[in-house]
Amino acid sequence: MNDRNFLSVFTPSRTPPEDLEAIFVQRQLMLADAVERVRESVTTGNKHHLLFVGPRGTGKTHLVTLLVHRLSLDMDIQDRLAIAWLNEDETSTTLLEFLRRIYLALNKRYPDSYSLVALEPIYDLDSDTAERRLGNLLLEHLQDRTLLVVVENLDALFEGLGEPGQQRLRAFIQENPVLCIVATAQRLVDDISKRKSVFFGFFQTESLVTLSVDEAAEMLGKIAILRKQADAAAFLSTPTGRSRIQALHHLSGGNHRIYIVLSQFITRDSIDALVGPFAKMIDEMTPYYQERIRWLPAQQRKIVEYLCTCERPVPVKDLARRLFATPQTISSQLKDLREKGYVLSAQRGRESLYEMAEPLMRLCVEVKENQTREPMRLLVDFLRVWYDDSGLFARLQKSEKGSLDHAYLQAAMDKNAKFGNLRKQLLVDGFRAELREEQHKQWMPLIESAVEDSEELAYAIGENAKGHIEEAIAAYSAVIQMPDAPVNVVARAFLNRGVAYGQQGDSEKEIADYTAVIKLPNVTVELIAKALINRGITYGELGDYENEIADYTAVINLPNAPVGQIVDAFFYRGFSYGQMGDSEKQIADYTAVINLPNVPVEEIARALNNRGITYGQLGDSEKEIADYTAVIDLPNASNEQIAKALNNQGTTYGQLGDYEHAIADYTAVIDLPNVPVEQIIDAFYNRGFSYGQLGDHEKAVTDYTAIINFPDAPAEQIANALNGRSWVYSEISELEKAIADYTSFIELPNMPMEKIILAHYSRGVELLNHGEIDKSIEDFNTVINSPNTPAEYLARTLSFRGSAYLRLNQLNNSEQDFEATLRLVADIPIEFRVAFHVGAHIALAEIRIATGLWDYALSTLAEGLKQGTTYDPPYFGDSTDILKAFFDSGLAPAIRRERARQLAQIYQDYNAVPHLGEALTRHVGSLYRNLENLPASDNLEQWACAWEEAGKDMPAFRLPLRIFRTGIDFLKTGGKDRGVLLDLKQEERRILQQALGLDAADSS
Amino acid sequence: MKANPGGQIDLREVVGRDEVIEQIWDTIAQQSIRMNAERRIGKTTIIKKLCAEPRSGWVPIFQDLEQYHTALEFAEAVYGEVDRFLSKWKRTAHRTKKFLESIGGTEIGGKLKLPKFDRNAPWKEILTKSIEDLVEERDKHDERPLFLWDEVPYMLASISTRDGERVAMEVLDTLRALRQDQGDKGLRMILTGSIGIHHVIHSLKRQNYANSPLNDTFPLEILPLAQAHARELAAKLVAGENIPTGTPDELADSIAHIADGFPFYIHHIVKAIKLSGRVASPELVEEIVSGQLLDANDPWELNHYRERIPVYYGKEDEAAVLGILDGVAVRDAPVSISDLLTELKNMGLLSDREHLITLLRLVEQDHYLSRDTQGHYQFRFALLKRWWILSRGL
Repeated sequence: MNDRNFLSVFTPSRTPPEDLEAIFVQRQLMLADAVERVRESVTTGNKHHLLFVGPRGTGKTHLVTLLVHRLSLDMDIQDRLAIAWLNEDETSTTLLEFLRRIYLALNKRYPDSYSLVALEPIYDLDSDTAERRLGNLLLEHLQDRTLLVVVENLDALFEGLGEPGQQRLRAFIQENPVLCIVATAQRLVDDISKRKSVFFGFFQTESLVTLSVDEAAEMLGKIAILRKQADAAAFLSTPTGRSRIQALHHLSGGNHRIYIVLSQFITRDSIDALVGPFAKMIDEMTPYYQERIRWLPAQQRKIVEYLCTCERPVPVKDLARRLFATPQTISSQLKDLREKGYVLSAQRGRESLYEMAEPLMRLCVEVKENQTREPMRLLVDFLRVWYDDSGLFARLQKSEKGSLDHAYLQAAMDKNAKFGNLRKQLLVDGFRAELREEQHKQWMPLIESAVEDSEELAYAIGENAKGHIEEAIAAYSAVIQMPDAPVNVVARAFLNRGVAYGQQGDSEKEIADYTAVIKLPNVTVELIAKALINRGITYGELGDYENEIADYTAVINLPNAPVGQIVDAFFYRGFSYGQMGDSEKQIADYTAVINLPNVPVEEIARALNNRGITYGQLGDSEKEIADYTAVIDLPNASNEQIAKALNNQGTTYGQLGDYEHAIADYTAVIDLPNVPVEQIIDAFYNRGFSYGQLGDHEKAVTDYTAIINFPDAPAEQIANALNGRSWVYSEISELEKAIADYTSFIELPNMPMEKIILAHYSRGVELLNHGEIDKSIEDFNTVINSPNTPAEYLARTLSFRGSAYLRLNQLNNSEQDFEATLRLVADIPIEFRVAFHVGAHIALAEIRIATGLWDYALSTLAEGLKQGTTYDPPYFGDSTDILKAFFDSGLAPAIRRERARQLAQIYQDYNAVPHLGEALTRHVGSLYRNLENLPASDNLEQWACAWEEAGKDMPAFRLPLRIFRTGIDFLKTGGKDRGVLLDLKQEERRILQQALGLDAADSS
Repeated sequence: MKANPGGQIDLREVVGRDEVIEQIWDTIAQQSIRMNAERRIGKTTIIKKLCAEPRSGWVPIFQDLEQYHTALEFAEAVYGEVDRFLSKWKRTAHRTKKFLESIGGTEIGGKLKLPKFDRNAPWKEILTKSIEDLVEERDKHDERPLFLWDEVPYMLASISTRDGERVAMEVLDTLRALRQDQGDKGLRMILTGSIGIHHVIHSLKRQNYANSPLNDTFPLEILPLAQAHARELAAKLVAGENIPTGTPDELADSIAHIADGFPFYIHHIVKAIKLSGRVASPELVEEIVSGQLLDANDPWELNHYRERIPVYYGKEDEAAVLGILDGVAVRDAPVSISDLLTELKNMGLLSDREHLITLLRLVEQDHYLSRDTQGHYQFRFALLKRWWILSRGL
């Protein structure tokens, strides 16, 4: 064996470090980080202590060997570093012994500086003095150097030291901060990990995990390159090679050491090269594993011994049966064993399956138990994975009877004959373990069906499932190029590769692959139909509806195409026609599905539902409802489809204004068993909405609340329900609850920004209505400052903020906001615009009156009223606040009369005099509601006179003025003499009473 | 500077402890100090910095007492340290030496070899005379000796086990007597421990120990780093690790905030970010911390806060303490004693107001809770509260 190729299985420190570097995988980042940390310990006062934890064979020594190697090559730190790499087989029970081991390790590495002679006098001292003297000796020799102590099996060291020894060691390190410890351990023992332990939190601990399939492949590839075996390296990267490594993974448990042993076989194709080192590895490790098993309590030992004999993971109930124990007892023991790292568990449905965590432990137990020296099971299995039956047979023929080769090959063939193809089983099992539970439904049937025809295809699909798209595409391509691959395997590879290209967004290649399937000779009709449908979908995504429809049509016309695919094609084509606006053909396609023979009832229900929706879009409610009813009455239709039909039908009834029928349908959905949650929540939401429309606010709130409290309701539906409920609360003036709902909405996770903005808007409006002006402004600011606010809402919000500022008497801010509103008002849809358009003018007019800009105010008001006339019907807003500002400006009687006349004239110009009259009456009402500050009688009288004079020639003003005058007379009595109101006729009196907020009965 | 969770920190690079160190020097001029802090909050680093950079006129001696299990071991260690110390100035501990010679010690090559002692070892004399020698010698040079004793409660617990509670009590009393006799000559001590010394004394009091052996010392609590310092430390470590980030300020902020100013967790988080190999952001910090808090292996050993409850407060009060902590954890705002009492009464856990107040004081001393200005209780550390809620399924 060439020296450069010598990889020591047990003692990586005996392998040339350059070779270890060459085959190093998985932990580059970790190693570089460790080197940096030791380097910092050497060059500064910071001292790092590192601990790497992993079971046997996971590459701990490999890692520290490279760490020491890299540090030794760093010339910058050589004069500041001393390395003591302790002999891992020695133990220490005291700090003194530990210090001695350090000294001896230093002597080995630096014999000139740390002589054995200097150690001699220490042996004559009592242990305390010796410990102190040796400590000082080390410190003196080190001078300014940092001492890197490499300790393998730290767990064993700590066990030997016990708590008193650990305490002395920790104190030594604390009192002499010159040490940097790099340690390894097979497990995280309590001596390190428990907070009450002496060394708790002391080490920076890193767990060394086993190799993944990719990392194992990388390592084997690197070993092959190191051995200059390019063929082997190339083979390992083919789909065949990768699928075999994938299968091997289960046997190896990802253990580095096993892969190193296997590499000897893989790169040289020699069973001898496998069995020899394997047997040696097992000989070396058996005592260790035996010891570990012996430590266990009897019950746990039995479980471990039984699991070691099992080929596959075992369910708890089987273990219980075999060991004559209850499943509860076994479960609790297994939990303990799992925590100790002996076993692994995997979930299959509701069942937990257990197997040995370390394949080597199983192997060692097997070898120990195996008195007949039969071939080792793991190696036999390995051969079954690595060779096909034909390969095994060919080798068997060549091997000499009675030889080791012969025995192993024969055992492999026998086992294959008895138990089937192990590689396929492991390949499938491996992917099942690697994929998430929710991926199983989509991918496992594909992998399981592919593995029967081609392991390479199964491997490619598995990689695809794992999200390794590049790797999957390469593997599919390799399958396509395999010389002897069956045509249907090639077709499936094309199909899947097409899908993978689609995932990458490469539609051109995707279409080319589907086309390749369609053109392949002798491909099954199912695969051609699948390719056509996929290609059709891709064309559709590209907007090429013509080709899309042609592909679906081709499926429909394909002789012997399975009915399921024809149904799919009709659905896709129908949908596509719908996209193109051709509802007639869309309906025809759904009808075709309904009339097709042998179509499952579920598909008929789906077609009826879709056709109903299409009829609805055409406005044909009668046919629409007929289709939904057909689903509801369809024998054997699933509750899911019935619920859809009921929800759709309810919505249609709702659109027709028939909320009672709508509510009945939604209630039917809610009462239906086995319906998807989304459908039930939809029904609650729609029913809540319908109740709201009927004015039954209590029931509406109950339904929305049901959604909000629904376990696992999707966030979006909770959001809708909060929105709906807050609307109802707002309707019934429960503003605080409405505000709380908007707040909950805003705090929902992952809501789109636009929706959050709208919730801020709505909350701001409710806060404003509730009188919480400052908080409302905060919400409006959020809306206005957000880049995501739609233009319409920006305009609306500016108007509301203007109102809020106006109420705080911040006239400047308010004016700016209303002016901005007017600039953006065209962004508000026409049906909502008028209130904002006129309202902003009126508010600006009010502000300008309040700031003494009378003429400007008049022109603003005139413009507002003019805009109001352009709407149908005309709209003039509420002028009460204008009158208030005018009244409050406290003008001299003559000016007041003149201005009242001017104002009345403007309202007259735009036929809005009755509107002015209403505002005058409302203003009287507002004065009455503020009786404590009632203006003086002469002021009120002047106010009345001014308006009477202004309106004397306006017939339309007569009635309003009469009501207004009575109101003023009532106020002049201090709002006490309700007899005054009797000056008015009953219907006029009612108008005034309403404005004053008096019950009719109060004043009659 | 790289993240170094649990390791030893270069004293020149200690962040955010200048103020407390100044406070210690000011205080120590007047009286000795007992220092209380959660493990891994950085108290040893502070002590070492005191030792390495003493204020003028002080002579500090640092000893990690965790390693001593008997009163004699302790006394001998103090003697050894005093002797080593004085020998630097070619002085010796006269009184002690004389005493030891009188009981059979022999001098070998300038070093006094101590005689073998039985159970009735004269540890008190060795301890007292050693310290008296040191004080006297230093007094001549107008210098004041300062003993920096780390992990005192661990040693006391060991002495309690090996020598019996009586001896542990005597050690405390002897130290107090030394502080009283030698205090005016300048002797000072700083006693520290990660388990509260109050627990050790509380357990000794159960054995009829009536003294208050530490009430002459100033109780100093080491707090986590202030936010600004925590941010500074996080920023330094992020820079030292060359961690790529587009938002360095926000990153440092988020690390400091989420770690509650605990240097240990700040170091841990930064190291985890480094090893993730990802571009760092506040979101990644949140992800890492969530991972740590939810990790079934409890890598930050926070479960210790749960497990130590029966040990600290006794089995009989375990349910009540859990009820208190649960009640405080589920509230967003601090909670009043009355509200807590009502809740505990309703749950049938505790009905005596005075007993509740006693328990609240204890959990406060053990850093679970703190009080606001109105005397309402809240979790001391948001990180602990977050973990408590998660682990208790609240």
